[in-house]
Amino acid sequence: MGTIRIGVTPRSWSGIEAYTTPALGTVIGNPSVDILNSIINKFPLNSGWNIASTFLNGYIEFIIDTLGIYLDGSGTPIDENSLPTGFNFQTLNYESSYAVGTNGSITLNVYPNLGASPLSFPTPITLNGVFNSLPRVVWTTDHTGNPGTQDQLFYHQMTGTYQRLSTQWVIENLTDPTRGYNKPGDQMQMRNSDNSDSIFDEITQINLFPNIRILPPYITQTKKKIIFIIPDDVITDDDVIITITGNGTSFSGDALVGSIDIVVPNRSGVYRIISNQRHDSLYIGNGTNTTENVVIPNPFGKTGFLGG
Amino acid sequence: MQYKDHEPIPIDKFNGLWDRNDPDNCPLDHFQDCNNLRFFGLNSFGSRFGIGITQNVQVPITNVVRFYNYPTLSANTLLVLSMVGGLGQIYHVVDRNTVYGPILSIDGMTDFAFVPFAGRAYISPFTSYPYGDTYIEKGLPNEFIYVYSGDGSPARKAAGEPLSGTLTISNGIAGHTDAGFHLFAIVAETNTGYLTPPGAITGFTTSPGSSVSFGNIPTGLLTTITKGQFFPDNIFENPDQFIDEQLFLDKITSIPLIDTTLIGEEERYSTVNPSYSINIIGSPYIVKRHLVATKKITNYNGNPEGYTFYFVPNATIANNTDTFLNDISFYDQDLLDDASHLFDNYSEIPAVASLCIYRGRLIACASYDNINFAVASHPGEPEAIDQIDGLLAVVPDANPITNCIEYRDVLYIMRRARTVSFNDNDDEPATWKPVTVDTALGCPVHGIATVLDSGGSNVDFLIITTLQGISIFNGKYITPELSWKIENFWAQQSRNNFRKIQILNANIKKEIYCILPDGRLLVGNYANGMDPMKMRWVPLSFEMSVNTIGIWNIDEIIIGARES
Repeated sequence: MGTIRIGVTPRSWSGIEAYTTPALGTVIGNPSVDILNSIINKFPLNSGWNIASTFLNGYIEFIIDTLGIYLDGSGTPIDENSLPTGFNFQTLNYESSYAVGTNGSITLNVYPNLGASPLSFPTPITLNGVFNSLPRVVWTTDHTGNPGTQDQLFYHQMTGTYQRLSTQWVIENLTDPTRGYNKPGDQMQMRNSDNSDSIFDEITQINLFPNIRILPPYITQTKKKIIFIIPDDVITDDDVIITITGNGTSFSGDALVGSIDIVVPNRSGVYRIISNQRHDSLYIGNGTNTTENVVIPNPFGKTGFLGG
Repeated sequence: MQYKDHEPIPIDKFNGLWDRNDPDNCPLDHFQDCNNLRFFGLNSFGSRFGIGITQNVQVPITNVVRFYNYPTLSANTLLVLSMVGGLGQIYHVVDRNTVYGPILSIDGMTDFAFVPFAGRAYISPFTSYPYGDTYIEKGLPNEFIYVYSGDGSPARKAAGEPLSGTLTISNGIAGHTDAGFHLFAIVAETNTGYLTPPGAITGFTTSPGSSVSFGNIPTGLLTTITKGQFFPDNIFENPDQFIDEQLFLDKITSIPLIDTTLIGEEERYSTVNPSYSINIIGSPYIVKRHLVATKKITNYNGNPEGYTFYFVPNATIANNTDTFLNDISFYDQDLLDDASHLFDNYSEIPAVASLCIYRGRLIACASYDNINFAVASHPGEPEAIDQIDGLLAVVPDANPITNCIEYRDVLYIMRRARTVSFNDNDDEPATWKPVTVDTALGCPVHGIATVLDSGGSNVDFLIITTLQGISIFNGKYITPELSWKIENFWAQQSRNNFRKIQILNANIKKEIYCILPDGRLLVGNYANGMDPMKMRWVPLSFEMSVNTIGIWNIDEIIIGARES
């Protein structure tokens, strides 16, 4: 079986941690502890907008210099440069907005990187593809209210997408690796060509064109491989297109795997009885004169009852 | 381990399946049940031999429904019916490396009857029709018996239409006739020797002292569609109809159109592909044309077919191209060879379910419109069947005629549960009297054992499958039947599917092979004698169902299988 490259529907980050330099940002004025905890330490941005409030005059400037990224469903952040083989960043978005409180106003500038000009604001800002040029974010407030009173609200979130661009898979016939074609009832294995971890544990459906769906449980399903059986109701003997459906953390949606040669046994033809041959040599059914040897089905003789 | 006082019982003979009455009564030297065995020597058995493919071609024939041994003038070959998607296609397998065809493609042809004659093959498409709880077999409607020459060219309808047109007749050079009014006509002769009814009948008054010259003599024509210049998807029965009315044509070199495709406003073919065309060519099947004439008519009544036509001596055109025949002289007393009977012949013979040759006549039984009639041709002229005098009437029965065969110079005609016989009395077949042979036993459409050719007797008896079992027939069905040992086994076969039975006698191997309704193969070994008590039976099964069986190269058993 040949190598198959697949493309996988992009997935969204489900969680991002943003760490800043300096640790608390460059604080001008008298920021409250609350905002430092809320904004500077982390962006627990796994489900939409987060809110922070200010109680100060002046401005805060900090730089996002490292990121910990949660893959969907994972509890372990990874470094942006440490994605598994085959994964690639697509976008990272930082969006921010604010609400003016009763006691003042706020200006927020987001710079794509240090020294660059501020992007427009107050329109929510989206930064795409800046993962390697981490942004500088500056909040400026003119807080005039009483300390301890929330009077400016910041809304911000950071999202992104990643993609498993491609991988190299191998589909193997475990029933008869040497036969050269596949047929219903055969056990088929999909794995990475290097036997590394992959997304096989996230497959929820294997589709054989045009309308055959193979659903779990599979014979084996791990990160490294999946083993399934070609069902008997495959109705075509053409090359059968295989797609997979997933709903996991690193793979969801549908992906084209490729095609495999499935021969629906069609033993029809003209045969002859061959003296001294101990097996049946039958057409495989692909329209050619290719044959395979099968055992003679169940030869037996059952004698009468003793004494009968 | 041996128990005290236990007397071992040696079993040194194995005589096959025993399946009748109580299983406890199975003799020790028989099997209560068995499968896929073969017998060798007088008492031994082993696993059956394996099977392998027969054809050594890149694209072998699949979905095999039926085949027959087709002995041509130079080889023993096969005619193989393959059916895919409702379209039956017959191929001519000459040897392992050579396949012709399809030589005949007919929609709905699930089976076919066949008989060889003088190296040619006469083929009739038929199928099974539900009939109460069972099925009956009869010829396809609006279909006909075909003749195949054995050379790979497409089969054509047997017999043929009369030529049409009007002759231009004039006095020729000095010669002689019996002066007076005569009717003249042309009879075409096909490459299989069939003589068409007289056509292009034209009257002329001959003159004393003159010969007669003929012009505008019609030639035989054939309508074809040239292949390779069109896409079948683009051909429609009616250009005004929707695309789902497409006509899909066969992938053969050319396709003779049956008449119904050219007659009638709604059945004309057309195409959106301008490169597709219907071609009318000179028929390659017409090899001669003969002049026929009446004797002098004194008071012509205007009915040209009311007079006797005779072949005019030395008035033959030995081709299908010339349109003239000049300076013919004859006297009425020279007109001896009667051609009038040709008017009554079928110009196209309705398809039937069974064919055989009896005393040089083609016998055809069970057409779509009449399951109780058989027709018989003139001796030596298998395509010349008189529509009146050629009829053989069998007492009507709810069941159609299923089979026919010659045995000891007697024609036997079977239904599935009745057998009658006819004797050729050297008169017209319609005068032959039916004699009832058996009112309970008959056979299905492929139920008479064949040997090499399409069927028939060997060793002066027939082996026939009846509802009671496999029987020897020597003018009557011999009891006990050969399959006496496996009476229960036979009774368990689906009677409604007896049409699937096909039987063959491989007398060199001393074995009878019988396709069973369930797709297995029953083998009866008679090496110990063709006697009900000495037969050794065993069913054979395969990974696929088998439908048809034949014998090739004298003793090579071949089987055909359709996709399960």
